[in-house]
Amino acid sequence: MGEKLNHIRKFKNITFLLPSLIGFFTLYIIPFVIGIRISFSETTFNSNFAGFKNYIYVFKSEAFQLAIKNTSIFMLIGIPLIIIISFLLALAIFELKVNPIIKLFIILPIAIPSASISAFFEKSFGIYGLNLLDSKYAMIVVIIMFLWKNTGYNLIIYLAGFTQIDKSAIEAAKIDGANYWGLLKYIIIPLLTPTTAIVGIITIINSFKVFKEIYILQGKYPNPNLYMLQHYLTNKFNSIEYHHLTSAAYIFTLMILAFIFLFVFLDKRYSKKVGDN
Amino acid sequence: MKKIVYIFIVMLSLLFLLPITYTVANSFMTFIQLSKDSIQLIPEQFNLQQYYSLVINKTEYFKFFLNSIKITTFIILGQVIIGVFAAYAFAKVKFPGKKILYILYVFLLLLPYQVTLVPNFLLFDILDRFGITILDTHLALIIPGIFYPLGVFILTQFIKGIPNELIEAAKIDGAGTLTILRKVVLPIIKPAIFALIILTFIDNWNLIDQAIVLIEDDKKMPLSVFLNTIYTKDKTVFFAGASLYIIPAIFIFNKGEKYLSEGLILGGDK
Repeated sequence: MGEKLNHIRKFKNITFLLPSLIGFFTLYIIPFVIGIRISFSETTFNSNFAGFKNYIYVFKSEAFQLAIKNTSIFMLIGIPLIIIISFLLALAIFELKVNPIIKLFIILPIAIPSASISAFFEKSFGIYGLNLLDSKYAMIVVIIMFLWKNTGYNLIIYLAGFTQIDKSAIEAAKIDGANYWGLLKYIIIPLLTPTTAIVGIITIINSFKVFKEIYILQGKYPNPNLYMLQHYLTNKFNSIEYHHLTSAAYIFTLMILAFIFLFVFLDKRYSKKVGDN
Repeated sequence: MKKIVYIFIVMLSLLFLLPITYTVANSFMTFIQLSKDSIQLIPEQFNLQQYYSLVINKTEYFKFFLNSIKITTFIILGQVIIGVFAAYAFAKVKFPGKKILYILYVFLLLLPYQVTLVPNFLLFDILDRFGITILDTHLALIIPGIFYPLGVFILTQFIKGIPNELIEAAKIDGAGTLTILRKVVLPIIKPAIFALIILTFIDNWNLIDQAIVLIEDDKKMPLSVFLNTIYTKDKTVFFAGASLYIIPAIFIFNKGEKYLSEGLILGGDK
C-alpha cells in the first residue's frame, strides 16, 4: 500500500515536467528530427534519401572549413577569457558589495541594439587610417566586442550563484585557518560548479550571436578572417539550402557536445585525483 | 587592496558604459554632427530634434515598443512558471530516462536556431490549415520563446544545489510538493529566477531573425526589427529610438537587483 502511494506521488511529480515536455517535444524535438531527415535528403524540396552526401559536401566545402576555423579560434580564446573575467568580476563585486549602479553599467551593453554597438565599434576601430576590422587582426576587435557585450550576462548568473553558496561552509573553513586562495580553490569554485556549467553553456550560445554585429558591419561576405559559422548557416538559409544548413548545424553542435563531454570527463578525473590524495 | 580593486571595477564599468554613453549622447546631437566621421561623445548643443521627430513622425515606434513589451512579458511568464516545475522534476524527482532527456534539453539549447526555425514555420503552416492561426501573429514568437529550454536548464542547475535533507524534512512535516516548491524551493532560487527573467528579456527583446521569418505583417514586428530598419534607412531618429530601447532593461534590473546581492544562509537560522 505504502509503495503504491509512493508510486502515485512520484507520478504526480513527473506531471510537473509535462507542460515543458509537450512544448519542448513539439517545438524543438520534432523540428530537430525533421532537420535530421532534411539533412539526409537530396535537396530541400526533394526528400529522396541521399545518405551522407550533404555531410560530405559540407565537410569538403571551403566556406565551411573557413567558418569552422574562425569560429574555433574565436571560441577557444573568447570563451575561457570571458568566463574567467566574469567570475573574477562577480567575486569582487560580491565580496566588496559594490554599488548596484556599477553592476548596471556592466550589464547594460547586452541591452543596447546591435546596430548601435556596431556603429560605435565601426567608429572606434574602423576609421582613423588603420582599419582594424579589415585587417588580419579583426578577430581581436570581435573578441573585445564579445567580452564587452556579454560579460554582464555572465555576471548576472555568477552573482545569482554566489548568493546560493552555503555561508557556513566558508565560516567553518575560515575557523580552520584557510587562507583566501584555499577558500577559493577548495570551497567557492567547487560549490559554483553548477553555476559555471550554466555560464559555460550560455557563453557558447552567446558566442554564436556575435555574428549579428559582424553582419551589420560587413554584410554577407565579410573580411575572410571574420567569416563565422553563422555566416555560413545564414547564407544557406537565405539560399534555401536547408539540407546543407542542417548538416552543417549538426556537425557543429556535435563538435561542441564532444568538447563539453571531454571537458566534463577530464574535470571528473581531475577532481577524483584531488579527492584521492 | 580592497580600495584598489574597487577603483579598478569603477573604471572598468565606465569603460563598459561607453557604447551606451555613445548611444545616448548621439541621441541629443544634430544630424550634421552625427554625419561627422570621427567618434563624437559630447553633443555640440543639447538638441531634442531626434526625440521630437520620433514622437511626431514615427508614432509607429511606440506601437512596436508595445509589441515587444507584450511578446517579452508572455515569454518571461511562461519561461518562469513552466521552468520552475520542470526544473524541480529534473533536479529532485527520480524517473527513468531523466539523464538522457536532460542532455537532449541542453543539446537543443546549443543547436543553432536556424535548424528549428524552418520546421517550426512548417508546423505553424500546417496548423493554419486546421484553422489554428499562429503564423503571422505574436504567438509565433511567444510559443517557441516559452518552451526554449533555457529556463529549465538554469533552474535545474540551481535547484540541484538545494540540499535534499531540506526537502526531506519538509516532506516529513507533511508538506506536499506544491508547498515544498512555494516554501522551500522558491525562496532559495529567487536570485536564479531573477537572472532568468533578465536573460530571457534580453534575448527576446533583441530578437530579429525569427520575427522576420514567422511574421509577415509589418505592423506586428517587434521593436528590434524596426530599429534595425531605421538604422539603415533613417538614421535621423535611430539614436533616440535606441536610447529609449534601453529603458525597460534598466527598469527590470532595478526591480530585481536586490536578489543578486542578498546572501542566503542555507540550512536554517544561523
